[in-house]
Amino acid sequence: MDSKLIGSPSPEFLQATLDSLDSHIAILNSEGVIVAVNAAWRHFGLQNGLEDSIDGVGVNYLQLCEQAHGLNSEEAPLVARGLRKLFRGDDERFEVEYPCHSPSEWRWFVLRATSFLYEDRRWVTIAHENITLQKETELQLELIRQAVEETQEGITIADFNQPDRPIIYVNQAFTEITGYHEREVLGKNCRFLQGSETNQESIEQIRRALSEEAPCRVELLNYRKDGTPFWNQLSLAPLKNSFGHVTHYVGVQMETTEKKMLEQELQSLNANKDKLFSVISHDLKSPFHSILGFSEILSGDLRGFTPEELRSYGEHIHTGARNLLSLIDNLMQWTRLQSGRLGYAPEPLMLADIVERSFDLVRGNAMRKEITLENHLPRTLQAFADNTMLSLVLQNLLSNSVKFTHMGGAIQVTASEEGPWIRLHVEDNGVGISPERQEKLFNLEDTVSSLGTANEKGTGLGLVLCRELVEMNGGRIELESDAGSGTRITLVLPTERFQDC
Amino acid sequence: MASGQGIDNLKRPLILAVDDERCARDLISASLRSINVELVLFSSADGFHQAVRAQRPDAILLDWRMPDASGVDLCRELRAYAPEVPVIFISSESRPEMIHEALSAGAQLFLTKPIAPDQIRKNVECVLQGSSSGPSLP
Repeated sequence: MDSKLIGSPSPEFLQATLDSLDSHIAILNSEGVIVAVNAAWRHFGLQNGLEDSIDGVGVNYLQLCEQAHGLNSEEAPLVARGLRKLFRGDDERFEVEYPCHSPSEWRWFVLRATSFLYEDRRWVTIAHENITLQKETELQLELIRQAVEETQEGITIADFNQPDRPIIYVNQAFTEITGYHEREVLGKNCRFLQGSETNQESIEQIRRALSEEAPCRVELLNYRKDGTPFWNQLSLAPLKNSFGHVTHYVGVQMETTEKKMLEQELQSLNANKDKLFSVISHDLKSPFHSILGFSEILSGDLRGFTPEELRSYGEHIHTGARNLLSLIDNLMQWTRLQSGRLGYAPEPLMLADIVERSFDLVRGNAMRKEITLENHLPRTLQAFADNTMLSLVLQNLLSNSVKFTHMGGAIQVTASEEGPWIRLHVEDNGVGISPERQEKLFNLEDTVSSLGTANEKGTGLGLVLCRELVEMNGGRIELESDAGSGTRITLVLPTERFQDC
Repeated sequence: MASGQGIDNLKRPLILAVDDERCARDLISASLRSINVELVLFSSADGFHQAVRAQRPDAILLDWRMPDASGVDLCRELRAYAPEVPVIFISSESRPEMIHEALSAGAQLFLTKPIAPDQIRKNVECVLQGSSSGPSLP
C-alpha cells in the first residue's frame, strides 16, 4: 500500500472515497453552495428526475431549503435553520428525519449535517441516508407497544435470567386488574399476587413450566392490592433470543372471577339436579314397587291369601299411588319455582282462611289417625304473601305433621305478631326430629325422608320446597323440635309488601 | 315367627328379610308365598344379628337404607360370623358404586325396585339352589 497517497490524497482519491459511500453526500461552502457531491447523491437526483442545476454542484443548497415549497416544505426550513447555525459556528451537527415517498415506494430519510473548518472557513457535509427499514421497524414496534398497552388483558414481562425473575414491564390493564401501581411491582417477582387461598396445583404447574422453559396456561386465585381475591387465567410463554435461550417470560392475565362464579353456581345447580334425581328416583321407585308388586299379586292366584292380607295389599297400592301424586305435585311446583315459572303475586291474605282450606286437604288422613286439627288464628289476621305459595307450604307442613303424629295426637296452628312480621306456628305433639336430622331437612343436598308413625312414606322434597317458597315471599322458616315430644315449625311472614333488595 | 319345621317334616329353607317399610315386607312375604320357605321379617336391624346367629338362615334379603342402619354395614358384619349365608339386596337406588359396595361386602345379588314378585321369588330360588347349606326346593 502506498502510504504517501494516504498522507496527501489527491482530489480524485477523495472523490472516489466519497463515491464509495452509500449515503448521499454533498459538501457545502460557507455560503451554502454545493461544491462537491458523491455518486450516490448524483444518482439519487437523476433517479428522482432532478437536474444537476437544481440539486448539483454550484447550486445554493441553503437558499434551496429556505425557498422550498411543496414537497418537503415542512422539513426544508428546519434544515435551513440548522445550516445557518452550523455556518455561524453555534452548532457542529444536526439531523432531521423526513419522509420522501415516491409514487411507488414508502421511504424515509435522515439528513445529517456536520460542519468542519478548512482554511479558516466553515464547510458543511450533508449526508442523506435511507432509514426506511429502521422507520418501518420503529412504527411496527410502536404499534405492538400500543397493542400491549391498550389491551384489556393484563400483561407482564419478567426477566428470566435475573435472580428471582423480576417483573420489568406491566401494562395498564395489569395495574387496573390488580390495583398495584407500576412502580410498586417493577423489580418484584409475580408471586406477590398469590395468597392464602391460591390453589397450589396451579403454582406447581407454573413452577414446572418455568423449570422446563415451556409455556403454560393455568387458572389461579390471585389477590388485588386491597386484599380482595380474583380468579386469573394466566398464560405464560417464554421469550427466546436469537441463540434460542430464554431471556424473558411474558404473562397474559385474564380476570375470570365472574366466569368462575358462574361455573361454581352451575356446579352447585348441577349437584342439586343430581340430588333431585336421586331423591326422585328413590321416592318414585318405592311407590311403584308397591303398586306394581301388589297389583301383580292381586291379578294372580289368590288362593292362600287371607281376605285381610288382600285388603292390606289394596291399601298399599292406594298409599303408593297417593304418595306418587303428592311427590309429582311437589316436584312440579319445585320445577316451576326453579325455572321462575311459578308466578309470585303477593297480596294481603286472611291467614285463618288459608289454614282452614289446608286443613281440609289433610283432614281425611288426620281422622284416620284420630288427630285433632286446631286453628287458633284470629279471623282478621293478615300476611302479605302469594296465596298459592303459602297454601303449598301449609299443605306440606300439615301433611308432615299428620304423618309424624301418633294416633290421637293434636296439631295446632297459632300466630303472634312481631313488628312488621307475623309468626305463624304449626305445632304437633308427634315424634319430633333429632337434632342431626333437623339440620338436613331444609337442604336439597342433604334431604332425608323418613317414615311416618303409620309408615307413611315422605319425599325429601317437601321442606326444601317450603323453605324456598317462604324465602321467595320475603320470610323465613324456623324449626324447633324435641325428638319424642313434637315439632313446632314457624313461618315468619311479612305483613306488608316485601321490599326485594 | 314361623316354626322351623315344615308340615312335610322336611326342614324348609329359612329366609330372613329386613326392611323398614311395611309394604316392602308384605310384598316379600306375598312374593314368596308360593314356594315352600319359612320367612322371618324384621322392620329394623334390631335383633337381626341375634336371629342370624341363632337360626342360621339359608338366605337373607336386605334393604339398602334403613332409619337405624345401613344394609351394607349389616352385610359386612354378618360376613364375619356367617360367611356362607347368601345375601340379596333390594334397593330403590342402583348407582354403580352402590352395587360395587354391596358385592364387595359379600352380597350375592343386587335387585332394584320396582321389582316384580315373580322376580323376587325366582332370585330367592336361584340363591337357595346355589347355596351349599340350603336343601333343594320342592
